[in-house]
Amino acid sequence: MSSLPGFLRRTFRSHDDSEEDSGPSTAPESPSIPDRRTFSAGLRDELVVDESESTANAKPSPYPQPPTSSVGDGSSLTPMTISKRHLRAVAFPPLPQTDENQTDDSTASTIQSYDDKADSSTTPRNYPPITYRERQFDIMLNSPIVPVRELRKLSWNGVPAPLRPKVWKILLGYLPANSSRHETTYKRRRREYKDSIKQHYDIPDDSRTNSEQETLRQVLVDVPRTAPDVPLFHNDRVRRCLSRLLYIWAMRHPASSYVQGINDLATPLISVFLSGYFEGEDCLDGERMQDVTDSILEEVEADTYWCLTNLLAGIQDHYTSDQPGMQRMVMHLEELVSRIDADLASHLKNTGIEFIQFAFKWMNCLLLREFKLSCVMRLWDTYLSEERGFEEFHVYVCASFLVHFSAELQQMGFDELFQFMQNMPTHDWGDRECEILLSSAFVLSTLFKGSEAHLNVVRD
Amino acid sequence: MGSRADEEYDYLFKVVLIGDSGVGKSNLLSRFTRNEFNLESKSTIGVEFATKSIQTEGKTIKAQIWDTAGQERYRAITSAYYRGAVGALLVYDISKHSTFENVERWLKELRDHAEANIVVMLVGNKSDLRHLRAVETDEAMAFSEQHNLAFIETSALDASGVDTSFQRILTEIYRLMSRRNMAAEEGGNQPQLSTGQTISLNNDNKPRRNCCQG
Repeated sequence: MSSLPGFLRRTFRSHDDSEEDSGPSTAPESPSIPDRRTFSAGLRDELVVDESESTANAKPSPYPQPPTSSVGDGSSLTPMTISKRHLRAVAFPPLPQTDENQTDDSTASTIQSYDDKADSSTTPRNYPPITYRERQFDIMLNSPIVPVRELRKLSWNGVPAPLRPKVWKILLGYLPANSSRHETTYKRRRREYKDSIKQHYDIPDDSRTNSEQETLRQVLVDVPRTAPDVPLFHNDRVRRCLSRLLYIWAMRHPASSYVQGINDLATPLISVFLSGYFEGEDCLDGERMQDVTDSILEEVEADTYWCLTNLLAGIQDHYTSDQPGMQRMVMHLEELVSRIDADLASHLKNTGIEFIQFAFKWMNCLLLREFKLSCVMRLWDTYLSEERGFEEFHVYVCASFLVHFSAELQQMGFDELFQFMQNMPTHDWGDRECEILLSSAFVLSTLFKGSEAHLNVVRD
Repeated sequence: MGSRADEEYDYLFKVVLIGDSGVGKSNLLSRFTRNEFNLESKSTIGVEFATKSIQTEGKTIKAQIWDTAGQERYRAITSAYYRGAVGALLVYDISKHSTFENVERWLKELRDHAEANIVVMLVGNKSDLRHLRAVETDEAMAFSEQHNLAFIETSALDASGVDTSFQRILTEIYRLMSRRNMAAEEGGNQPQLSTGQTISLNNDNKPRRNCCQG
């Protein structure tokens, strides 16, 4: 077995461009996942496409083109004509100004009239020249039926920040593939969430059961200490959103209820969805909050609630009694590390440190305690792209992460190891480091996925 | 095992910090070991760990302190850390009566998972919040006498009582252990808290699993 650092440098993942297009997915709730074997190991050509690439040599889109009267007509192939305003519409569609009884048809016409205006606008786009990748995202997101499978595949290498809110909502199954239904989905879901606030949150305390009061107490204890290093989460309005959505989620999911760490998982969602109102601008410093109206915040809260619900639905047994999902992942990690870095595994064993002692947190908070929020966003682009990203691929990421520090760890004794693991030195990590980590995790996953026998160990 | 040349100590004691979520366990630990306090520290997930050596009765005692998550859901994970612990600081928040009411539940956790002769100290933290006090000192003192626990009030914020609490529990463990060892040497066959100079922390001696074996 080659040692991991050996392949860290040459593990850029891409998908095979010659791959047959299978058309748009029409089942967004269970989007199909790109077959791993269709990915080649070479450098993806769009990664090296110069940003100055002429739109004249644009490759024909592999995706079905919408009719010219609809969103994203043929002209969207020449992305320089996309206005800033249009792009904001991509990142976050404006809410129709009509009342709640609006039908699908009227929603569609709202979007269309908006887009007609956007298309006729000559305002140049106000941020860096569009890349081939960005254009692909634009085309997909502007299709009447978003090709979810392709979108998922494209997202593996990262989603441009302005498009991230919408891409995440689609990949998390919150927004359907059918673009014309986005507005009605938003309206319906946000209204449902608003109703649940009345039902669960805005009630007198004495009408809560003891266990409900305990859950509320726990949520209120944890919210002020959620992401304390991110100024955005010091904002009282943001904290109120977080308290409500966590509590309501707990009430609606009694099998697990609220578990510490779920508060961390909501932070990337809130941050990303908020950025959708500012063209993808990072809102983490909290200064944008003065521009955030109550109605925007209500939308962000509701969208976060539903996306968190969908995210946690995939990893439900991580937070149920005894946390079996978490224990399974830690065990898997241990097996993986003993396969790929036997020296490290035996060193850890000799010092007496147990994987559960340090890796439990990695699983419980999905590395949110180990990485800056901006890094986590990048990691999650890939997790959302992977089939079972938060459960299975995450373990490969954790293994790569641990092995990355192998040489240092092997010099440490028990105390030092433990202290190191509690405060992993990732402060200066950025997207590049995350991408190397993701790449090496991908290599591991191709080596071990489907060959679980290699990981099966003789039980005592 | 354990001891390295740069860390001379006579005894190594494992102590756990337990109690409801948000009572200030992590800050007690950081105040004691690093003299740091953070008003908005993140919740503890699983366990955290720190060490500090103190002097008592002419001996150097190294305390290995395990800070556990307070939430009920984590009990299955955290109770494993009671194994081998010779002391426990059971922490409540003097400004939240419910955290004091739950002390009994924590004592039961200890009875179920920890060693029978573990030394337990009841710690009323956040004593700086005088205007918000919800648990009277007398009430807590009576409770601790009734349950045969040591008792102290602390404030991780202003540091009062913190060093004393750790110093007292470690000294008490040391005395208890010395008495037991003496009794054992005198021919008694009583169960010992530990044998030898250090108290074993990592009884991780189960056979390792090997891949592709058999």
